[in-house]
Amino acid sequence: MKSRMLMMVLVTAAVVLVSWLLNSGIVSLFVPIAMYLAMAQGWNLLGGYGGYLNLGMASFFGLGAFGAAIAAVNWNQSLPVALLVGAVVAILGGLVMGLLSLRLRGAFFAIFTFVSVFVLEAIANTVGITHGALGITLPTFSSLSYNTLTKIWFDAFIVLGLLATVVVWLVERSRWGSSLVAIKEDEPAAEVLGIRTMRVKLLAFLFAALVGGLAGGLYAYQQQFIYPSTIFTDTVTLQVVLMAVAGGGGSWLGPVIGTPLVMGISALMRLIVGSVVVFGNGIPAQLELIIYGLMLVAVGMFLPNGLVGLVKRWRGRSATPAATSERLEARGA
Amino acid sequence: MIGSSAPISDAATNNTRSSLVMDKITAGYHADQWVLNGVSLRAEPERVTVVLGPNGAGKSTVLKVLYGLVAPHAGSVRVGDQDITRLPPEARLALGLAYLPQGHSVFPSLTVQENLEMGLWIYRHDRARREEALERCFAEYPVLKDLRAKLAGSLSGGQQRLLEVARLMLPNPTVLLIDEPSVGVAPNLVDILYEHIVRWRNQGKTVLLVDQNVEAAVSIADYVYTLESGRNRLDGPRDEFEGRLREVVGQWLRLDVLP
Repeated sequence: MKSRMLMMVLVTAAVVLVSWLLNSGIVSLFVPIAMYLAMAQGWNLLGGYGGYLNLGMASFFGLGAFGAAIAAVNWNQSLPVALLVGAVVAILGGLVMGLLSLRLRGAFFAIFTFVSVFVLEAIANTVGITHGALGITLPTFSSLSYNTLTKIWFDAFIVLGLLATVVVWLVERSRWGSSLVAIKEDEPAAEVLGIRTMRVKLLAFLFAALVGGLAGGLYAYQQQFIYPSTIFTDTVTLQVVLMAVAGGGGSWLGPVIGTPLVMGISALMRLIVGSVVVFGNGIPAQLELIIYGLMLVAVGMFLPNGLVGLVKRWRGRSATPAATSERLEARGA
Repeated sequence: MIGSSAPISDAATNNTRSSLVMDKITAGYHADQWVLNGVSLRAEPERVTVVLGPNGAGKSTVLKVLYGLVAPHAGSVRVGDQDITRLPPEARLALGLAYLPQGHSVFPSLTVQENLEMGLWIYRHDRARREEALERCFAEYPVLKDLRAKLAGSLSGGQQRLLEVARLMLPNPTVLLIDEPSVGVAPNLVDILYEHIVRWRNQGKTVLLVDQNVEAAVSIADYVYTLESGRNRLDGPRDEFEGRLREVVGQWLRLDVLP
């Protein structure tokens, strides 16, 4: 277990190091992958392990982005303070949303979280503190070159993503992770065993809020300019869910595989399909949504447990003894 | 356990035999449409107490109120001399109550070991007690020890039932609430459970059983209650009751047909 943690630290250090050796043009391609890795892991605990389809990642992302931007611009705070403010705003939002919606099961929870994105977008468009539809321009780091900044943002996102991965990995091996799976498979039976399911679900939801909020805050700084309709958007949610689910929800490895895969496929599709001209125009900007939607349908139909599930099935149903004995070992059984 | 609203005795070391009393309980899911209208009953140690009644009589709700899954509108629930009416399930579990829900309740994609750990959730901060409980469990069900790294979903139906029973007994409960063991479960698995119920009774435990299978339930009962439309009807010791069984059940059948 300790050697695994050491390995994770070494992997992170290696990735960061490599980012400084590569051309910043290449690194910039990996910035969104690193960001979405973090968000997909944030989603994974409740959505993947707990089976509660959270369609509100964009809400946490947006609360973090606007929280950080408002702290930075309206209140003149430094970057670390602004990021912290963004995370706190996202967690408070998660607390309110969770207390309201986690008693709802199945589709009702999914709809509630989905709608939260539009409600927050409408609020952000209306209230003065967000500068409404004008958006917020964040302070620039004029002393740093574009190339350096690209690498810094990549490193920030990838550290967040790998930290979130470590947390998910640890939870998977813990009693708490088992309780999330128990909730997914039979919530009433879990309650009967004395598991306070509301508390377990809320903690997992707040983890999503924390990671989503931090990613949103970093994104606001990286983009320099944010406005409600590009932040509180179902595209963000859809991408997060697709990346986690395509790799395999309920497994720490799922988002690690799914994020680069989905990003790669969608970039490729844009290259191929984007060059087709229809009615004198390029295929509309909604193309991305269409691609993600089709991919989500395909995953739902052919890969219900993601790629991780597919590999497990190939290796035989109980091809998990390695993971299992490891989990037993981790608990000193 | 931290954060519970009442003092909690030590279930594993508490060998006092507790009787369970339900006193004039009114409960339901919508106000003014109570499922239970002032139901009273009593389950004693070393007895199997059976609750019978037609569909919709409120049998399962009785168990849910006793376990804290449904909050009653009026009335009280006591175990021994302690009032537990307002306690949540996890506190009742710590007081020695345990509840076996209808149908299958193992978690298929958790291992046998993890399923058992979920049964010890209320002792998750007490490692010594968890280890002692698991040791006791594996001594009683050695087959589960051999299977402990297997996913519960890959076990046979009989093994899953054993796992369910073992998980139920891990905190060493003194009062067992068993909901409809014959519904949606293969007959041989029902037999496994009935054998256990008799054994638990002989060990001095308090068993309260609700079942649609009237004949099977009465065959192991010591005392029988009947409910109709959320009210107490007949009750009495099994011997006294057995003769009138046919008459009572016949009446329910007519009730089911005629509004």
